[in-house]
Amino acid sequence: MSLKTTTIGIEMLDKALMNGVPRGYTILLSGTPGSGKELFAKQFASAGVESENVVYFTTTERDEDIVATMKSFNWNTDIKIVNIGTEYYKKVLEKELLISRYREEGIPINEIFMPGKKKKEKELNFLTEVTYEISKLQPPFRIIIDSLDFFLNQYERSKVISALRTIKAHTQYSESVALITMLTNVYDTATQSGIEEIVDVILELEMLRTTSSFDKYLIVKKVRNHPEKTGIFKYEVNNKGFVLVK
Amino acid sequence: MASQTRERCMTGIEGLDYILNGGIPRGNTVLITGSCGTGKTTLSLEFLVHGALWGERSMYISVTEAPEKLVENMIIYEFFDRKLITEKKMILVDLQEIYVKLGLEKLEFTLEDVNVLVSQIVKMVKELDVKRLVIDSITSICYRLTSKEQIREFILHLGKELSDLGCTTFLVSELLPSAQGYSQYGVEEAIADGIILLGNMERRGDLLRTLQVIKMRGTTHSRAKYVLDLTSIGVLLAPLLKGGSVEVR
Repeated sequence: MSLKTTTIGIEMLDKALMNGVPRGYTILLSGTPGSGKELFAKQFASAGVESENVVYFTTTERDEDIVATMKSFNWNTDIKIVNIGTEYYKKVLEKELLISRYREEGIPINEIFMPGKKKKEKELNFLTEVTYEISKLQPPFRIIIDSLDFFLNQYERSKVISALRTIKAHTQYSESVALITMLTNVYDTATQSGIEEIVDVILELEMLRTTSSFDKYLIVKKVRNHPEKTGIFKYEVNNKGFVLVK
Repeated sequence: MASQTRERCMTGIEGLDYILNGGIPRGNTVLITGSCGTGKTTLSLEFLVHGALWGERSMYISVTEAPEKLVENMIIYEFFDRKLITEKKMILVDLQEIYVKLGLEKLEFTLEDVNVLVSQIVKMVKELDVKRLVIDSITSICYRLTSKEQIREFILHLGKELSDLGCTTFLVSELLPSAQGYSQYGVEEAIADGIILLGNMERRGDLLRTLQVIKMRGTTHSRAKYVLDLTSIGVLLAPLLKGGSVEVR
């Protein structure tokens, strides 16, 4: 019985795994700032356009910037973008900006009697929103969450881990695939291992400084049931995106 | 001599101006203190309504009760006119709304929060030219301050700024029946320019409301206890006949 797989979007990496990544798998992509996690996420997204329902959750970039970056690599941009960052700005940050202005200048007299936005609105849970959006997807789907850090900073760690477990289970049962990005070496061990235990594949991007440049490594840290598949590859980014070099 | 020439802010409350020798010295910050049901809010509202009727703009800052509800409570008084509200001679402010806008929906205030709040109240008084202000209650604001020093700073700062603007202020203070002194935190009473204590007293099976002016800077005044009657024509004060009465708080 052959394993049903799907492509990651990087040929050499597909080969190093099981000729792609098995359907139902959740991948964690961790890395230091500047290592290219976001670009990897976009390459991964466009690789699924032909065969899957691709949904890209972003917490930091604007929609147009995502599309523009993808176009510059000639990647298929036929994906759905759910912008948590913009929503966060509109529902939380914009309000905080207004509050800081009011605190500095005082509330203008004509605005005193206008009803303010109540706290209820503020307590919108983006974590719940993401899981809800995912639960509605038609399988097979490919979801990208860039990045988990936003949620880890906003909510209790245990709640994020529990949401991740829900997303993983749903991805597994719908024979779909998920990629989640996260910063390396930021969280406590309990959080880190809690996340690493749930996901099926862990990829880590690492940059080492040499005299005049960086050596970039892609580390396959975990492949569920296949410890022999783990390994270290050198990578570079050219006009086609990520490529592994021998 | 200066105390005799200070301009007065007449409360318009039957009997109280007499007790105070003509009214509250303008710009004073007065603590209206007493346990629940003693008539603090009613007394304060009447002070504002009379001011508004005489052309002094009045403002009521409510912390715990919605302003709409207060209007309903006031309709029963013959001297109250809804026009005072619609024509903005009397302004009702819901402090919760101010909290939302200033990001103060939290249990504990920092020193910066306190300053932001004071500046906002002063700004409203200044720009709307408010001459009579009631904050109901100061206790529920002080509840969010973390130390006596902060409470002291808050009331001193507020009192000073409002006094400079010529605004006479009532700070409603809730007193627990078991409390010692005249205020919840003990600090308020020391800083205020005046204290009007409201209480309950039992006499021959009857529970009477009482009023006593404990202190009032800038005027001589009676310190006797008076019986306070809440009627549809407002608060009425009468000298207390002491026979057979027992004080309850």
